[in-house]
Amino acid sequence: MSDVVIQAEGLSKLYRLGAAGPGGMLREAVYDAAGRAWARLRRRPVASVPVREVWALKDVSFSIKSGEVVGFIGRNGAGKSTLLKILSRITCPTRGQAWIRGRVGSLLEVGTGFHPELTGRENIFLNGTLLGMSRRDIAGRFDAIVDFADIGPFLDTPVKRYSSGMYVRLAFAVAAHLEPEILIVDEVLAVGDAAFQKKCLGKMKDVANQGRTVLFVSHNLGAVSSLTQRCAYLHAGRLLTLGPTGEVVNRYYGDAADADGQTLHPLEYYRRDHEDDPTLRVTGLAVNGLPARVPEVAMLSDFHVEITLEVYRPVHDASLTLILKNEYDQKVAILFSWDQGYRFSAAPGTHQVRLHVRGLPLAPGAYYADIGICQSTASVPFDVLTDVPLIKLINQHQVPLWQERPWGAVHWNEVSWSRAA
Amino acid sequence: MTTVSSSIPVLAEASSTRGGQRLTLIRPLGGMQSLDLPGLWHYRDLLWSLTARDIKVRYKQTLLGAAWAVLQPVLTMIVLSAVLGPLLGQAADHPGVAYPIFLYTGLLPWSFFAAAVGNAAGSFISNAGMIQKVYFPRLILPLATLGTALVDFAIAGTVLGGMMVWYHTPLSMAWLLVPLPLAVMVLAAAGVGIWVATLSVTYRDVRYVVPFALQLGLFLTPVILPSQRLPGILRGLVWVNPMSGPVETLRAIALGTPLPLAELAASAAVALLCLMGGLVWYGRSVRRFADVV
Repeated sequence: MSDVVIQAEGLSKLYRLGAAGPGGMLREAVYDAAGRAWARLRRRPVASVPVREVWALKDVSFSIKSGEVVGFIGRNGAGKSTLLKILSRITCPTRGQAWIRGRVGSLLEVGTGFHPELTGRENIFLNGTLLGMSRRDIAGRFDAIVDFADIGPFLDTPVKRYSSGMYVRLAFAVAAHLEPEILIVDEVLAVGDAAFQKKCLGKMKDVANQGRTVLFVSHNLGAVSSLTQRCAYLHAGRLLTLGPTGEVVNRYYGDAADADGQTLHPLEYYRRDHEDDPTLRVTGLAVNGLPARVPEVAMLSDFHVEITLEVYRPVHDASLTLILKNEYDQKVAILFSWDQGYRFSAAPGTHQVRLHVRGLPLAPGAYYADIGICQSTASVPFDVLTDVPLIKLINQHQVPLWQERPWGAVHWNEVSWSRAA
Repeated sequence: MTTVSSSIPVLAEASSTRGGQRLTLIRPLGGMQSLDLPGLWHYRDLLWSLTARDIKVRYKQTLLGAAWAVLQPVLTMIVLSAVLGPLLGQAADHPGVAYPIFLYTGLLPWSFFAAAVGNAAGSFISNAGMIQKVYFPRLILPLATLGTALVDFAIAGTVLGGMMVWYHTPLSMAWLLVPLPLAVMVLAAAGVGIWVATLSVTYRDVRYVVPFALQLGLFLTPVILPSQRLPGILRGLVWVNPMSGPVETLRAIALGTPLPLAELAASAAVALLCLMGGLVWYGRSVRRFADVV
């Protein structure tokens, strides 16, 4: 028990989106208060502005022992960064608590606080003190930082004249010499070239080998596997598992393969957050009349998507968006209902919206959809589903060439070839 | 599970050092603990870095550099003296004192206050990137603008020395008391600065209100006119204006007139109240900063 250095207990973080969000103008606050007072005066029920609530993190508990190197993996939006922000004290949990024993150094971004007008030397001191070092500590490690960053002759040049590589090297060098007892690192290795990434990983291994505790978020599963012994897997704000890295990474791969094999989970799985919206939600999805399946469709042919909506409150002029993504998470087509002048209005009840897609010139492969419905193009959506496996396009001899040929994102057939006279 | 519940009651503070190791407690609510006063001390070098940053950055790629810190108040003094001097004649109830020196002793502390508060208003917003990515006591940001303004104040203060020689103003023992008005001046700027900085995170209006209010404040503080010459209603404001005491006292020291200590005490009390209120409000708001800013 005594060597536990981080203990988290039911950490949860709620974000409020939409009209009544924090921020905003004084005028709104005054109007709001006045409106409420007026309603109370007239003994009317106080009208509440619908607020969208999203649990970015929900009931996350774990403990980490001294000297452990723990990886955090999960899809985008799983809550990894929120968790690290809470542990770094950047933001407060909405519920739950945690304690940390030891000096924490957190590195959620490389080069935070760097000022472009200041020289490398000046930025080393600025960034170092921002990370919690004293000027004396920095002076003591100054040569090591400059060595690691490899910026020798440019030390007294404003960093706005640095190449992006030099900038990142300098920024990481400062952070790498922070020497905290607990190091929290978020995806910072995504920047910089391969050689530099290797150097950074090496430095992090050193830190780990010195018996310090490291919490490490990355999409680079190779780095996670080589650096960490234990790994936490987050999904939709919840901690699914925390165990030996090999097992957890395999499970993550397994889930990812599920998606590749286009196994369809219940729609709930794809909902961006797990709160009930008071207005409406998507309750069903069918492609070419086949609900809860991912149909194979010949490339270049038409298909239709039926979206079932459960409407709780009357809706006027809502817009629908369907973003089509390929296996590489590239958005290949974004379909806005307003482009075709379609607006969705409905009374409470169950409704279906059908969209007919004609001749989309996409290459064969698995396609995923983000589906969103909102009041206007700019407002907070009523409901959003992300990465729903939608359709599999196959080449049924539309293109008379071998199957394993290379494809682009788009397969454009309206091309003619001929000998120029 | 049980470790948490059994160990937390032992902790008194958010961040305390026990057995040589720092223990940080992370919880949803924080009253005094979100002020993080121990952290403020730990991060004192950051205060210095940010102050130095603001000063260095301001004069990079400028021709005159730090001379601007002198030129601004001096030019204001010259223009205002040229316009108002003939109107006011012998500096308003200070027989034998030239108007420029009367004016400059007011402009000097007022410029400090205006710069400190004006820059504090944007200090959280313009450093939003840092707030969202690193933990440090956020209070350091408005305090750094105070530091920057203090450096300008010191530079511009040298001009006062020159003016006293020029106008043959004698040095008196009263100068030994000069830390008093300066302390109240800094206290007032900190109090008001923390208020506007904290409010501006939630209400961006503050950034537009502050320059305007500071412009009005110049006339509501005895900078251009002595408080006795202000119209009746406004004269009462002198007692709730945290800057009127420092201005009048600094002027009295420089000109060798009786010190308005009651006024200074009133200003000190208002400044102190303002600072306490500002700190409480800041403590209540700070945990939302990273989500809102």
